[in-house]
Amino acid sequence: MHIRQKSRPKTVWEKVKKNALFLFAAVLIIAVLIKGVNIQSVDEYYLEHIDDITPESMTVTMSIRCDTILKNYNDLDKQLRSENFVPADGVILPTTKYVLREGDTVFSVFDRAVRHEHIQTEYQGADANRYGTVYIQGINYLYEFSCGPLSGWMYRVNGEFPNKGCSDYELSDGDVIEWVYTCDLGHDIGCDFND
Amino acid sequence: MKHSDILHPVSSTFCFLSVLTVAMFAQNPVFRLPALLGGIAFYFCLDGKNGLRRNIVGDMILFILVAVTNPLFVHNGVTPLFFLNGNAITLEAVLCGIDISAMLLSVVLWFRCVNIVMTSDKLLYLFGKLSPRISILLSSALRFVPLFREQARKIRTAQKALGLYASDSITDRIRASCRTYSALVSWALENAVDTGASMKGRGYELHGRTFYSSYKLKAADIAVLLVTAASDITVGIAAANGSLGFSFYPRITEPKADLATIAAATAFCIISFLPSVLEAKEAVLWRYYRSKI
Repeated sequence: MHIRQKSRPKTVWEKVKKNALFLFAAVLIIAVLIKGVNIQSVDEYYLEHIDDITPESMTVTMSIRCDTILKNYNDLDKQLRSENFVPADGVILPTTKYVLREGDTVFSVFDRAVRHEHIQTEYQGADANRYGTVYIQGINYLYEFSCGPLSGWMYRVNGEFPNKGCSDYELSDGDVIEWVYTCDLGHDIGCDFND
Repeated sequence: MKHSDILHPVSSTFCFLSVLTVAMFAQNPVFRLPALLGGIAFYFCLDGKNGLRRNIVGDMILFILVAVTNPLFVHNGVTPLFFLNGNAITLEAVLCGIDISAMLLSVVLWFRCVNIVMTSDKLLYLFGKLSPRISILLSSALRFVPLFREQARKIRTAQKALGLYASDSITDRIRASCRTYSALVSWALENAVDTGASMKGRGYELHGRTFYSSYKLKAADIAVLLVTAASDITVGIAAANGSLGFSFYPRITEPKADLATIAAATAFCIISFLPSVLEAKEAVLWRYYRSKI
């Protein structure tokens, strides 16, 4: 039973006009998704070739170590207690020289290096946190909080812990970057900002 | 006649609690399939084909949404499939997402069955002596959603009959839903106060009030209780033993096939299919008796 009265059937255009707002919203969301999404295959992601070091190129050195985990092995998550995730000597990336490009930050060198060495990492992008800088959540399956509630990754440049995010720290020739895992908010690796 | 109407409320509650506890809290995916299939079978027995058909689209959307969301936010795992904006979409995260959505769906299904089986008289019987306040709260909370849905349908029909929002466009449909919703909320508040007042008016909370119930613990009820308890103990032993430990990240734990795990999985299978088997037995018996008339 239809109570409503219709003077004439609706044309297609009238229907489209009513739904135009929603069509627009849908198109907008799809456009943002397509523009903001960058899909790479595994081979594309891992860099096979990295800049060659020539006599005139500027270089920095980088290393990734997790020695503190070996001292706090009982706090480590059970599924990570394996040689594959925590190397016996604590060295994930030995001290290696990388070419420094113009305007490189700690993060950009780190990103190139781990892609070249096939080391798994996970980071929170600079747009995803309120500090506006990249935060490294995990390297080689070792994440923040994997070894106790005060654990996570920190970095040193020339032996000092810079008090800024890794994508904001611009590097200069000859800098020495060390990524180190802490199990005690930095106290066990000689960092004192949290005192 | 449904078997769950004959079964003693204590047995039903114990069975539901055992299945739901394992389905919700066990991390091992070995429990997912029995929980899901048992839930589907029992819901089918209680609500028939139409019930399943009514919910299948919503359930599939829920399942897919949860399964897709997990790998978008978790990038841990040793098997990268591809990289999205520089972070890996891994096989482990995809499987974990499917596991989580299967768990969620099975719990939703079992709760739907709870809603059908645990009628308010059973809840009053179970909790009435313990605390009348809790039992009325539980019973009105559990009937809230179906009641809400029914009332929403009534308001919508009434508004349609008035000639409001008769067009098919999305804007109009959303405005209609907003208006229905606002009417619904005021009705729900009034209804809750009304229910409370009328229960009080009948002396619900007075001291010394007695309850009439026709439930007697029969041999079949005790059998259900014993089977459920035995299965709980088996699962509990396996959990205490550490056999059920499982993690997806960074590498999926290799499935163990030791005695405790197999026993726990079998025991859980038995209790998750027990309600639907009893229901099927009852249906067969009912047809048999009718055929003799």
